This record gives sequence, C-alpha cells and structure tokens, in this order.
Amino acid sequence: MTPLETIAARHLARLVDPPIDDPTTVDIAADLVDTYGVTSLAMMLLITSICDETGTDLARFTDEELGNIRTLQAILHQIDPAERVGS
Amino acid sequence: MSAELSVQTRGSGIDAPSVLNRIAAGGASSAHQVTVYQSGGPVRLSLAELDRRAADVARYFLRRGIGPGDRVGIMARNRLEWLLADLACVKIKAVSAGFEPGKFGAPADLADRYRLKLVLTDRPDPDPRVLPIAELSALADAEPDTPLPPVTYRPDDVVTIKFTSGSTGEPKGLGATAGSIDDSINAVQSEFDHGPDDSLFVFLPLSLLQQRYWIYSALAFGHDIVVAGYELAFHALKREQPTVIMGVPGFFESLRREIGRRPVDGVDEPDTPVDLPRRARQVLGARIRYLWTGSAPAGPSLLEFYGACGVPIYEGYGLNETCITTKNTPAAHRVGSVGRPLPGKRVRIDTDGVVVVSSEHPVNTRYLYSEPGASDAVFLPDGSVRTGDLGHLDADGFLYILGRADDVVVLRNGRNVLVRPIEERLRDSVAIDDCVVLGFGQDYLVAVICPATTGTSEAIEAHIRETNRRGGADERIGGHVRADEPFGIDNGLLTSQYKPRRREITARYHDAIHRIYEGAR
Repeated sequence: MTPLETIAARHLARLVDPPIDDPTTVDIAADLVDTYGVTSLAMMLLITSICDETGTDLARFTDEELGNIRTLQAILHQIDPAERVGS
Repeated sequence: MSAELSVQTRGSGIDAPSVLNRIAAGGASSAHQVTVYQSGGPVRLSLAELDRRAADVARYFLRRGIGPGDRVGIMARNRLEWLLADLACVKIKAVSAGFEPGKFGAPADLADRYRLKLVLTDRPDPDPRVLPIAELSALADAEPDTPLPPVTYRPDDVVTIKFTSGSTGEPKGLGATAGSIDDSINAVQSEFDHGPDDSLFVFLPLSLLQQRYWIYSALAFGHDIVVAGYELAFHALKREQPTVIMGVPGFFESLRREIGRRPVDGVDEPDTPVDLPRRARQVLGARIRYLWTGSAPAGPSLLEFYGACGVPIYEGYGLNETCITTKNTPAAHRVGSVGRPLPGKRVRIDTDGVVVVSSEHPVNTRYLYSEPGASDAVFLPDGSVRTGDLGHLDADGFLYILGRADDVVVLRNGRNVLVRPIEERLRDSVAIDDCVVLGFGQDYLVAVICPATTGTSEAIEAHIRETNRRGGADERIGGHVRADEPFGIDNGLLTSQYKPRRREITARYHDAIHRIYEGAR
C-alpha cells in the first residue's frame, strides 16, 4: 500500500462497526457501500477524516465529485490525481 | 369516528412580534455572523451584511418583474445564495418554493407546472426562467441602492411552499402561512432562549422549512449561525464551535461512533476507560450546549449515550403540516418522549390512537398540490391535522410516538402488531445496521435486515431468536431477508429525513419475502 492508501484504509477500518482488525486487508477498490456497508453520512465522515489527516481542503471538491465517490480509490484520486493503487 | 380521548394544551398563544415582518423591514445585528460552508470554501459575513445583500437580491427580483405573490423556485444544495434568495422573497412578499435537489425533474418543467416566475438552481438549464444560483450574488451587486417598497405579513399569508416528492404520483405542495412560521420561531425561542453567545449549526437541506427558520431566528434574535452543505457537514463541524447542532438521529449516530473511537489528546489508549464527556467535546466542540434532533425516532441507546457524554439531546416532533409541535426542552425533558406541546399547539389522541394537532395559526388547511383526496385525509374540517402517527400522552403531557399508523401490521389472525418497537429491538444488535418488519395479511412477521459490516448470518439469527423470546406470540419474526445494500436516500429506501420507505422496501424485496411465506406452506 502507498502511504495515502494506508491512511485511507486505517480510517475505514476504524469507521465500520465492528472495526476491521487488520487495515491491510481493506480492498481499496471495493465499493464502500456494497462491500463495507458505509452509509451516506458515514461516507462523508470518512472523506472528511482522510482529508483532515492528509491536509486536503475538502471544500476544493465540487458537490458532484463528492456525491459520486464510491471507493477509497476514488477518494485518493480526488486528493492526489497521481495516486495509483499499488504503486 | 374520532372521539377525543385526551387533550393537552400549553400556553394560550404567542404574543411576540412577527419575525417575518422584522426581517421584511430589514436591519440585523452586525455583531453576529452567518458562515456558509459550500463548494469552493466557506463564506463568512455579518448578519447585517446578509440582510443588505438579501435586499440587493430583492431589488434584482423586482427588476425582473417578480412581485408580491409571485413564486420563485429554489432547487440547489445549501449555499449562501439559497439564503439570499429566500430572504429576498420575504422582503418583497414573493413566495419561495423549495425543491430538494435530485428529487425533482428539470427546472423548466417545474416552472411550467408550478407557475414559477424564476427558478434558481445548480443544475444547467437553458430556459430563460432558470438562473444558475451561483450567479445571483453578482447580478444583485449591480442593483442601484433604492429603497424597497414596505411589505407587511398577515397571519394567513402564504410565505413559502414546501414540495415533497413521492415515489409515485403528484408531489405534495404545502404553503406555509406567516402566522405558523412566526408562532413556531417564537415558541422555540421562548423555550430555548437562543442568545448572543449561541451559534447554531445547520446542515440539512434548506428546502426543509425548519432549517430556514433557524436563519430567521438568527436575524430576529441575534445569534451566530453556521450552514453547511450535507457533504461538508463533518468538515464544517470540526472547524466551528457551535453551541447547538440541529440534526437527525443518523447524524448523531455517526458522531457517536466518532466520539467512541477518538483518542484523547491524539494518543490511542485502548485500555483506558473512555472519558466520554471529554471526547464528546473534542468532537462536538468545546462550546456545545445541546443537540436538537427530530424527523426520525432516536433510539434509547443513542439518547443514553449522549446523556453519558453530558450533552443534552432534545427530541421533538412535528410534520411539515404542523411545524414543530412538541419538544423536550431544558425545562421539561423526559427521555423517550418527544416532549410536551409547544405554546400555541394542542395535541390530542383520537380513538384510533392517532396524534391530532391543532395550531393557533395552522400551517395551512389543505395542500396546494397533491393526489386527489390527500388533503381531506390529513386536514380535518376543524383546522387540525391528523398526523398518521400513533401516540400517547402521559399524565404530565409528554407525548410518546409509537409508530406510524401504517407501521401497524395486521396479521392474518386479525391482530394488530406495532412493528416499530420490534425493529428497535432488532437494531440493538451489533450485527444489524437497519431493518424493517413486514407481514400484512400473513401468519407471522418477516424482517428485511441490513447487516452490519461483519454481521454474520449466525449472529443475526441468534438475535432474531432473542427478539422473538422477548416478544409476544404475534410479534414473532418467522423469517428474514438479508438486504443486498443499506437502506439509503440515494437508492430510494429512506426518505430525506432518514425514515424507511416501507412500501419501496417491500416492493424491492417482494420476491424474497414471498419465497419465505411460500416455503412455509
């Protein structure tokens, strides 16, 4: 995992209920709703937490960009378009 | 038949001055501010500046030929221009019409259908009656600073129209009268005394009437207000220090989890007992005074959690058709109830067990737009509103909501089963995120269950067995369907206020439910 992926996976692992013990098992490309049961409000909490830790200003995203996010990979791509899974 | 079983009255009315006439007249506190978190970054300005810019927009509306009684549609995510447009309508007695984004069709179609002279939206539309809402500020800035013609609201004047989309048929359009708005804001102020040190946090869509009433409250009584878009709610909350958070149970549930896992001073101390009051203030802000919740029932464990945090959470009750009707308050709070009737409201329970609300100034006496017969089913001839919610009043006048009248499942044996308490017991399991219980006309109940992330079939079945053990014979859940995705607003299985859409959930899982009943025969 890249450093950004590690951060994202850690936040997701702590968000879900019950928490995921090993964040390295998180699938970055998985649909957050279908695979991890993340609700729409929890999704916003997750994005906010990842942005805060990475020093990213959430307000720079458009409403559409935020509304279309379905995976951790998509969140990371918004934070850093150069970010690639596994790179 | 609807004989009155019990009546509660509180207060003889509202004598406070009209909030709307005060806003229409202009002039607001320069010592307090509004902060709006929107795409592109937060905007912060004094209430006096908000008032001045709303007057500019009002002049722009007048120049476009919009006057008293004309309708202005607003269909956009929360942003500063939403507030400006709404307040501008108040200033010239134009009628604002709020549409929740994503729930309605093309803006031009809305203009045709609902006689809107202008539609402000964040959706592109080439129709000349449609204006990108983000352009409103710049257009209004160019207006010459001429005095606005004075306007005065009478109690029966319709100020705004709330449109509620349905899955089928005609959306409901409800006009809210000035008297009902003034009474609601003044009654809440009399109970909560929002003052100069307060900062109210609002993030639900401004198309919901109550969310705008907090803006009116800020202008009338002089307190700060923070408005965030839904997507920016958590982001904004972490950067502000509100004294009051206006939310719904789902939001407070998310914050509860955040509080539960937040490290103290940035250090994870898993073996240290959780210092809930301290962690709550790290998440909610050090100035938090109380939490306001409504729209959907807050479960007992959520209320208990915030009690343990030392942060009061006040549950209330009301519909668009009634405004806020009852509210737990600092002076009168009973956990599990939705509080006592506010001044100007009267609550009774009819012989069917349904809550009926009377208001000194009703929101309205019928819908402006609805399916045939919808008005007669809700608005009674005496001006009261039959809510469709089952409830009871205790000896001290606190109202308890037992569920929707349509939460009652009539089994094949003719027994009525109130399923909401059963659903609440099911949700007590860590294996279950959400659920509804169904079974109309059947021999037993069936649950549609959204499992928690790691909710195994074994854990779910064990909890259902335990729930059945605690319930009566007619409350037994004879089978369950595992939902393939969470109930959400986006997939149409929750309302915008986070209530399950039972009919839609039933339709979605009809085949699976049918197989359970067929398999038993």
